[in-house]
Amino acid sequence: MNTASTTIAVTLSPAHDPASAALGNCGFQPMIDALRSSLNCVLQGKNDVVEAVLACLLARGHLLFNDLPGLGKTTLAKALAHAVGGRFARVQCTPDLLPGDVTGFSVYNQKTREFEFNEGPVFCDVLLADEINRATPRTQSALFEAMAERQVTIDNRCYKLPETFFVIATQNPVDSHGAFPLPEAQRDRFALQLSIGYPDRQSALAMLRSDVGNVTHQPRLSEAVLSPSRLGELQRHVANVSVCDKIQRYLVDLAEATRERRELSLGLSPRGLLTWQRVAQARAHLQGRDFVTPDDVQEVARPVLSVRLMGEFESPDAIISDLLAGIPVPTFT
Amino acid sequence: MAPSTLLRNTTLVMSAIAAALVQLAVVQSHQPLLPGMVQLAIVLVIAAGLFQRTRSRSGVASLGTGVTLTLALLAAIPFLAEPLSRWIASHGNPPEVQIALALRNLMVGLAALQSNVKAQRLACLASLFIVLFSLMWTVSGVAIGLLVAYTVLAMWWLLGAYWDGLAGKFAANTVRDLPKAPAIGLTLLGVVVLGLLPMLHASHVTTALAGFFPSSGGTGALDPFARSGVGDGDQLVAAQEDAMSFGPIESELFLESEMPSLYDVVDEFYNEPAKNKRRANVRAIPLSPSATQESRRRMATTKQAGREFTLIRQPPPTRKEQRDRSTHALFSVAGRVPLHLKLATFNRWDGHTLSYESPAPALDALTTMIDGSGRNWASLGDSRATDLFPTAERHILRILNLKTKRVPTPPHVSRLHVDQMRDARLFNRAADGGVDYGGDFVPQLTVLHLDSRPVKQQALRHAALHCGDAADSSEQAVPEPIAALARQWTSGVPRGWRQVSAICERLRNDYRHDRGAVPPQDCEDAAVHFLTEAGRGNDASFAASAALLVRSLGYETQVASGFYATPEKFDASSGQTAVTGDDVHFWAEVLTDDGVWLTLEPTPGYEVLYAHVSWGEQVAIAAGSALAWLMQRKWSVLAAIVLLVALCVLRRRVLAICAVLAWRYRWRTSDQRSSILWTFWLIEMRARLSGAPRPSEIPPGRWWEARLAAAPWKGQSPASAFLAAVQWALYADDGACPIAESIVDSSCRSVAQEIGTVLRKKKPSA
Repeated sequence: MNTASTTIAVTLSPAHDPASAALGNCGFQPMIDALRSSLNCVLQGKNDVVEAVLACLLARGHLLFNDLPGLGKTTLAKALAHAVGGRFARVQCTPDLLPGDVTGFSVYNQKTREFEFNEGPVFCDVLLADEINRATPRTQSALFEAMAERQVTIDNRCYKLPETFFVIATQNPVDSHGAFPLPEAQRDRFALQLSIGYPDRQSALAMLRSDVGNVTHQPRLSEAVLSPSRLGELQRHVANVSVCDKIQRYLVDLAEATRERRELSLGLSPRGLLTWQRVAQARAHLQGRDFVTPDDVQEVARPVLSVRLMGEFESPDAIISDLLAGIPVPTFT
Repeated sequence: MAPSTLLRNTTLVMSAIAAALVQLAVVQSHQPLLPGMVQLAIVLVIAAGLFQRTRSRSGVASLGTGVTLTLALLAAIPFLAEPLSRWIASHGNPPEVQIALALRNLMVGLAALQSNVKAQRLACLASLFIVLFSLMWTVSGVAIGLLVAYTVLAMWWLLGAYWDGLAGKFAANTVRDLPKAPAIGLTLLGVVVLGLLPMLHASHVTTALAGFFPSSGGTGALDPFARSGVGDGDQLVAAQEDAMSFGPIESELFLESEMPSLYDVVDEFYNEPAKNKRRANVRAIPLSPSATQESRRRMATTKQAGREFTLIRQPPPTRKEQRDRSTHALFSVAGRVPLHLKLATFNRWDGHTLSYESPAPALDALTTMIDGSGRNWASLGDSRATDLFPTAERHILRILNLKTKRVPTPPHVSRLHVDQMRDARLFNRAADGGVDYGGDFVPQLTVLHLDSRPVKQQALRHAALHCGDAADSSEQAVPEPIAALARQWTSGVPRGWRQVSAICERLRNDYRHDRGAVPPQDCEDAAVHFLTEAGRGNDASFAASAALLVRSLGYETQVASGFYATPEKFDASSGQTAVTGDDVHFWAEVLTDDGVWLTLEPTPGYEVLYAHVSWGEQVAIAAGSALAWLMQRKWSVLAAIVLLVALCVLRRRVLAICAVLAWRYRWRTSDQRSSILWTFWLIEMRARLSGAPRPSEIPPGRWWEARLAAAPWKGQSPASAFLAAVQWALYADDGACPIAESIVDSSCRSVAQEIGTVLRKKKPSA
């Protein structure tokens, strides 16, 4: 993904709207900058991935990393959880992992003669589901409710999860033997799918240099720059970034185009369309704008669409490029 | 998903077979080979272009607007080529062949696009229709052979299409292979079963199916190139042209109907002449036996064709009960209409009445001549082509209810033929130039073939008109008011046809045709009354007035009466025009130096039949007039051409200047958002004019960022501020611009001024 790293220098006019003024330099911007720099510290040379992760976080979506082992997926997830300042939990998915191992279970307390609920790892702010495609479909399904509705129902009791609950799942595309590919319904619950990829030469050298003297290979994490409550405010703020009619029509055109392609057996769902708009809003906010432009829509198209488009094609990138090339960008009308 | 190579090749061969079959059918129906081949070559060239264009873009041809339009053009080629073929090569195709050729062209175009599965399937469907079409026209050994080959391929195609559909459902690593041996076996079995059917019962099958396919068969009245179809079309044609034929007119033969004589028809149309009481008193005096005989003889003569005609008539009665009755045709005319059919002429005018005074009352027998096909013709006049009468025209009259010995003849008639006529003396030349039948009246259902030479309209202005003798003109003095009117209407007009034409045009434009308008019985001169007072009258008034007006200028004129075959009554299905009692008509004629009477039509609503002008001549005439028009304004035209060429060459620059002017005007009068948008419009327009427009799918910010940043700005680059402002103006719903107004203004101005430089600079890679 090629995210424009240069932000446009803007000079605020004296007659600037207070509402929009609250957006760019409204107190959130330092937090976002700190978040960005802390993630960039642990994942060097991957600005575009960090931007996408931030956009996903601000859009209140869940993230799926589809990449090889050892590229920093877990490190990034841990750094993110640390920076957000919430609880972090990790589930290593295997075929014998049960739903209760994720959501928690009730135990009979002989002293009190009552069932006590033991919370599972899902009761956290950032959950890392490592190698999610190794878990059985039953266990994968246990995450459905938590991801979509941010709640868990066990023994007819509903347990609320934090509002900022955020799932980062990883899967290994190479070794698919004995794996359970994620069903379409679950893929659609992820906002983005990202691949980190190998670092470039300069970043690799910097990484090696910083690792000298680091006994545990663990990156040095900075202080938390956000709290879950501030993150919630930030997410609500992002939801108010304006999207004009032209852009919404453009989004609908693109969604319809995905449904008309013969190569795609599954086009974009309405939930996917809503997610696309929200991620574009987050991207606009990260760029310091209070309105969405076609650049935002196009920049987030690949991670948003690659997680949910199904069909017979060699490379999703080619299909998505073709889709974007087929719909004119709205300008005057 | 693109179809497999096997299917593509099969489709191609099937299309080729279908194209060959339709060509075979066209050639075997006696159509020349060359025009069809030329058309096929054009179609193949277009299809090859289509193939090349869609192939170079991507693996699968997309059926965009351009491709659809090209396919529509291919389908339209036979219909567009048909008039050209008929005009240039004088042969044509009947409508069903045109439809088949259109389908063939469409199939060829679709076959060229067969990397698209939709196009490929449509091409196959079209080829099936074409094969069925073609087999309805031709059943020969070659056609059956092609049919068998087509059947084999069609079955092969169906198997392949089914197999392709299945393949998509298999896992990716499944080996895909068509089971060739069973497929070939099944195909051959199908061929044996299906192939034997048409071969065993070829005639039955084709006969049964023929009813489901269109045919242009019929009389050939609408389309001379129609193929003979179902029914007795040939017999109908014979009945129309052959007086002895019986079948199709059976009902008319024994039809009992009132058959009015010509005299009755005229009186019925123009009403009874007003009774002159003074004259009636004179008649009351007992006459001598000789005078009585004279009177009887005169009555008989009058009944023949109406030797006299007075303009003073009774007003039309109200005939309510007869209005709704359908009128029987007196005779019918096959051939081009409108047509004036003359029966009587009048060359004398006494103020009320038209009459004829023959200078040499001799009845000439007509001479017989035999044409190339052995038919006897009665020679009636000069049949040579001249500049004024370039082409011959044939009209066929079928006499139905007209009981008169006078034959209605078109202007400048040259000869007359009746089937089985051995001697032209069956007809006589009357004193007034008309043709009379030797017996009492022309027998009913006689079919008269009349050849004439219509006058060429464009040659009329050069016609040499005959000026009457001085003695004759003094004898027939035209009333002074009429002569004055004629001089007034033709002042400044050169002598000759133009004067005559000017008078007719004046009458047609300034006077109203009114059948019921009759001059008062006590008027001095009916024509003077019509021209100077009434301003409205029947066609006889128009004709008499025109003849007098033209005569007053010294030309020799006469009034003719007869019938007017009007195009309104032309029946397209039979190609005939019925002439009824309502079509009685008067017109004027003027004499040329060659002794030919030219028809003048002064009555509004009536037209003269001129010589047929071919398309080529029409084009030449139009081109000549256009050239003359241009030559009259040669300097203006030259200046306009120079201006157009200059505009064409410098169009981009001119449009760029216009865009800048529009931007400057708008810049001053718009608010901030509009100003930014106008500046953005300007740079987009300039980019388009420079031949490097922004691709529609690339957002403006990304496209212009690289280009504007690369430009050599004096001082700080306005690019980022300008683009931020543009994005705000384009996509922010409301709120103030996040950039200070002064910065927006200066950056917009800088960009608008330097955009030319930016665009001239080498474009950065996208």
